[in-house]
Amino acid sequence: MSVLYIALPVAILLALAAVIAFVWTVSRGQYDDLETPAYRILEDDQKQKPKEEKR
Amino acid sequence: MIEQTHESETIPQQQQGTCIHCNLPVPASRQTDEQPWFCCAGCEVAYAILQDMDACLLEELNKTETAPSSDLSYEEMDHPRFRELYAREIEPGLFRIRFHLEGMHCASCVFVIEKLPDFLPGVISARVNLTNTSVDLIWDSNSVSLSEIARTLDRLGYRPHPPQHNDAERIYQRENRTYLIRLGIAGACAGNVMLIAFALYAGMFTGMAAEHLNLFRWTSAALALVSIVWPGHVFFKGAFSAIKTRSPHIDLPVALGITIGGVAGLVNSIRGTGEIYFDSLTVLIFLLLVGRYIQFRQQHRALSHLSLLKSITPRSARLISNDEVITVPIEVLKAGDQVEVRAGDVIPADGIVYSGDSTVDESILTGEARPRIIQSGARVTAGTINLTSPLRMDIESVGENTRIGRLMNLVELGVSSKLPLLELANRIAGIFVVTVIILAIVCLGIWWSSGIKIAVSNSISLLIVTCPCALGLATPLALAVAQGKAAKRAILINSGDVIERLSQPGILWLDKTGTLTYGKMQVHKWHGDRSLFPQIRALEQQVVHPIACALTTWIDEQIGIEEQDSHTLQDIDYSPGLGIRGAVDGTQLAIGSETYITEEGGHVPLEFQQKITEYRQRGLTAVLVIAEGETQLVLGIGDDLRPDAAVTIEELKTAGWSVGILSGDHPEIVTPIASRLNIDPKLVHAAVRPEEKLKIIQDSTSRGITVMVGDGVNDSAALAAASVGIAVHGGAEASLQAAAVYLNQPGLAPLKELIDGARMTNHVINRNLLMSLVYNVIAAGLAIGGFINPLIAAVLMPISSLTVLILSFMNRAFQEPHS
Repeated sequence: MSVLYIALPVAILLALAAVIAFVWTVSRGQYDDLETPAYRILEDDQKQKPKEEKR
Repeated sequence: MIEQTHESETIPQQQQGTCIHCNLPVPASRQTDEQPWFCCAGCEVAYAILQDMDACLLEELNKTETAPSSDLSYEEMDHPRFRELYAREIEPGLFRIRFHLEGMHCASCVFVIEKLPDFLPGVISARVNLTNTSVDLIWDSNSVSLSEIARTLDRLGYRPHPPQHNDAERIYQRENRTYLIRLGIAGACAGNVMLIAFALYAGMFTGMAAEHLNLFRWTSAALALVSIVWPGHVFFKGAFSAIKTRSPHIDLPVALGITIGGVAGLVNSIRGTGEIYFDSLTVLIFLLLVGRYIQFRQQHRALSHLSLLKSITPRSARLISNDEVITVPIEVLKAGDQVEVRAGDVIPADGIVYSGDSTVDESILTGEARPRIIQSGARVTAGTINLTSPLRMDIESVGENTRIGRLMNLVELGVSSKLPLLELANRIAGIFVVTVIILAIVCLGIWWSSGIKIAVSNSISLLIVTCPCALGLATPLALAVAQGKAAKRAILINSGDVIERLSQPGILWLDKTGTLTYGKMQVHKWHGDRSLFPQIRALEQQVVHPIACALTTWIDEQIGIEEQDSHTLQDIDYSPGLGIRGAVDGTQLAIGSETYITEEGGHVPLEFQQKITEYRQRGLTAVLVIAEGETQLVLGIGDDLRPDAAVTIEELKTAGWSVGILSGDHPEIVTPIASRLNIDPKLVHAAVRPEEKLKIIQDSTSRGITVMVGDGVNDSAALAAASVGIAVHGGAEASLQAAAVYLNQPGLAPLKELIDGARMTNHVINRNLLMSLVYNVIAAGLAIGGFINPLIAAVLMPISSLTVLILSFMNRAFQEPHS
């Protein structure tokens, strides 16, 4: 009994897991907007308070 | 914060027309008198911060007043019907809405808009999507009204539009996801089969136990089967429809190769000897799908997804109910309602005026610059602009039933009914299939003497190795690269087939107003006494009319704007479309056309007569000024040619195009322009209505490649129906939607660049196709010679695709001109 009989199915299963994960991310819409997130890292996290309310 | 002092000298020199902060082009409306220019509010703010102007960012945002904000009140958004139509309640009092925003295009825009919750209390969150220029807002209706949010966005320079109800965007999103999933699966199968193939190739040279050989073969077979059945089924679908419609398609040879390869591989797996081909097949499917995906992304229109009708008609109307006027969303209007249209507003629906006298600018429909006089009982159409005084009207039809609505339906029909172009690759595909099958039979015959097994095996090798992988990639790759480069040169190509359509010269129709000319009235020539300028200006300021505006702006330039000059005006009498008379500071003045002046009893001396004739020959309108019955001044007012028009048209003619004019304007204005541009009078059509433009273009399209260049709503149906519709800079939104190409630079010079670039790109496509054919010829030769083992097949395939890739990227079209 060669180790291949275990290794090959394991490799295929790993690939399958990756494919399933990919399909899930696609259907969740994670690839719908590929532009905006790249710009969000430029924003500050802390919220500054305006000095005074101008309405 | 580190204290830094900035000297004014350290401000970098700004290139003409680009934003000092991000270097993107600055829209004309933001090109103010004072430098530096910015392309958007975001850049302005970011620049201010970077210049360390000691101002807190949010305060800065709170008082940002950007140039082109409109003074819309957005009141209609507070109407319950509006919320019902566009917003969703996610929790009690919390609503969610998506707005499409005009003018959002870079990182700074995202930055500013997503800061909205910080400086507008009541906005819970704002998420921007740059790909389709929209923002998802969640707001608390108890603490902020939607109209206030809209006004804030407007003030920052991003005009909000409610989302449309058509499904184009949703369909695109769904298709995009389907494509990605297919790609993922095809890629995973191809990668894993490739790994197993490595083991098999290694076994070919060093020997391998039969059980391992079988294990590897069957695993590859299973993976390949998944790839063929799931992602690969698109090729079979394409092939079946190609057989059904009897039109050659690249899917046909692909499907043939996949089928034969799959069957042969399976048979050999069962027999336990021979080639299995699965690695070539799965990689082929994956690469071809990559090409398909590129093509799909190309054909998706990247322009803002505003529906045509909505961008022309206003979003709110002033409904008259029980003697009160209330602002309502346009969707509430129905036939039989009564609305008020203020001066300067767009008319919201088709109907009949029952009170008020005014003039209406109908250029959107007719292309004619002269306003039409409207009195009680006149019909008015949606989308036209009420110029001078308020009107009240009875609505007859709304939305899609209005004349403009029907016109927009024609546009959408024109876009959808256009015959798809049979790509060169597909035209080759038919010949390709036949040739390959004949070669396979020849191969079978040659090897017949060495035994049936070898003969069949060699023929199958031939069929698989000639599968047109590079042929399928050649076109989409070259087009995608060209499109990307063109976009950098401000030429936006919405669908890839434009480039192939422009490969041969055909006929090119140009709209006049705004395309060949600047699209606005200006004073070009004048003769006479200039002392009257202040009085003329005072009189002309009383009317809203393109010629009057041209006059006052020009006089402002001539003598400067004096705040304090005030004139007493008496007995003003305005005859729309003819002229105006009145007493300015006691002097009796009359300004108008020659007919008007003679009717007023003015005498026109000979020297002025000559000038009038001269101006008319230039295509200008002659305007006369008489003071106390004496002619003092004559002005030639018109819409002049763009400086690059004549040159571009000459170049296009040299390149073999025939050039014609399609204009809604009067023949007397169009003819002189046509003669100045050297255009064959047979190809000049003046005073054509939008529906007629469409007809001319349709006739012309049935005879050959027809290009339409225009900028107005009245061109949009024609733009949609032409083989290639090109919208020029500054055009109406509808023309951008209908056109396949948008030239985002003023003037006609980009037109030449587009046509040259298309020619070069077509050369690249042809080279690509030639290369892949050469590969196939070599491969076929090797197969017939019996030299093809799976290793050679596996090497040849990716190399041919790689060559096509490199050739596509070496395309020199749309390069920056070397200065």
